Amino acid sequence: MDHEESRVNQARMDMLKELANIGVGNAATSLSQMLEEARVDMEVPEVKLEELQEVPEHLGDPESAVGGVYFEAQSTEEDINLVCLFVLPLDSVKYLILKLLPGWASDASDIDVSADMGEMEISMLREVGNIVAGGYLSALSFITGLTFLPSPPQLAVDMSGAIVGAVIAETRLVDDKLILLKTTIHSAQHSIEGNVLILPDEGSLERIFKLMGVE
Amino acid sequence: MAGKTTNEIVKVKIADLAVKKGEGTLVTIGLGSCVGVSLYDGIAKVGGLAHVLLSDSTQFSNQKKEQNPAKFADTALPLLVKKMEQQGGQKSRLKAKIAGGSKLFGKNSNIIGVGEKNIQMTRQTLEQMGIPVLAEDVGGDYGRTMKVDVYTGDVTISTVGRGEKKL
Amino acid sequence: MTGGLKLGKTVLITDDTAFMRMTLKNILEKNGYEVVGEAEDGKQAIDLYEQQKPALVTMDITMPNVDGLTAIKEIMKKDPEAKIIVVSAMGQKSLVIDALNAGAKDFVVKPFQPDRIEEALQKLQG
Repeated sequence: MDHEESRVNQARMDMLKELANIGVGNAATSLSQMLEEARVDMEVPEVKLEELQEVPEHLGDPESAVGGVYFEAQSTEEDINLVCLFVLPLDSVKYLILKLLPGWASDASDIDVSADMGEMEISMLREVGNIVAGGYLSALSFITGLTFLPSPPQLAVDMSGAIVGAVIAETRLVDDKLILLKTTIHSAQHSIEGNVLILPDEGSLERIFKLMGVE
Repeated sequence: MAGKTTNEIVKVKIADLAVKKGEGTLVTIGLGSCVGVSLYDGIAKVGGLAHVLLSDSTQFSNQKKEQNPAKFADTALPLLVKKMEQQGGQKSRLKAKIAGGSKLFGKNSNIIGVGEKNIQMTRQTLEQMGIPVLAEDVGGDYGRTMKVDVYTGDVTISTVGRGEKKL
Repeated sequence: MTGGLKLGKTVLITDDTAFMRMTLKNILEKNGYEVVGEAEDGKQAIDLYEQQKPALVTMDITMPNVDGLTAIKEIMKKDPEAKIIVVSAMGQKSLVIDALNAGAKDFVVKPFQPDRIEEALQKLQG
């Protein structure tokens, strides 16, 4: 069995799915509170060992413009590092601006989403990313018993493929297959959708598995 | 055969490379910190495109597994040349055009990003192989898509919100 | 000092995100507080606390330069009576404990309803 595949067995995938489940649950709850919406739904988390080349496509059309919030997180106690990316299609970004910055624009057609957006819009999106991050890191903390601190989040508005590629490069991962934790949230009332991609670096994944008790 | 195009598009994904001969298009989407390298032999009409993710394979040479050479600038480019030679391209005729190597995140830090390292290693490797760089569209803080017309060797760079550019 | 300043109702807001500072400012002003300073990181918070001597401080945790926990410790060192409310997206138990041990009086997890902030403010006034 391939070195990579033998490391990834059913028990491990199940634990990661549980991690993703709790994380996206927290994120969905947070978003529903922020948006004052009765329901924010989540899809069943996808946990997959994926070919590096296929990862960008997993988060949608690589050529489509999206908003991406990126941050790194580290455990305060062990050598565990990960990078996370929260991706929102531009329609969702517009909706967030309409909803969370009332009065900034009269309707969606007024809103110009680009890398040159105003300070406040950028700030708001980074904060949404920060809050979503908090949900996942709480989940990771719960499962591993460790504390995780994120870096301040950064925002890029650009083509999805470029954003995902940049994040993959930051992981300093050497594998040709990556374990993808992908979760999707939908707001029931409106078209807000978000994907979260979590990539632990090489050694970190092993350490996480050990702490989860799945060797 | 001017005017005849099959319009066949070959997509080059991240950490990947491809060669096409005669006509058609090689395209790679989403060059962020990655660097796209187009190599072209105008006489044999052989085009090659690599989407390089990282710069230096030797940093990972202590790994047990074989690394995918297309991932790193220093190994992808020699491999690309080899594949082009298999299709009738000649190294001495090759000309390069490069794009990408941006810093999408961490714009405010002074640390040399992955993108910049990729650009440097790409230029270095091409120089070592004796391949001149005819044009480049590198750096900045935005993503690019790179298309190579295999019949003419023309390269088109497109972006989100910053228009198109021909190299 | 500005006119209309109410004793005991001045606040220093600390958060690296303009959006969050704006959100908090709105809630605080609605509740009759005056925002006398806005800090973007822990270092600014420490400096502004010295300058303005606000009655209350809201403090984020994840910030560049100097983080919230360090800022709390510094401020408490200089003023053991300081009233600091943490407002952070990081709700992990150990962080809450660390913040409270460092001297924070309350810990509000983002996102929050305005009345959660109001609740925290009332607790401190008592």
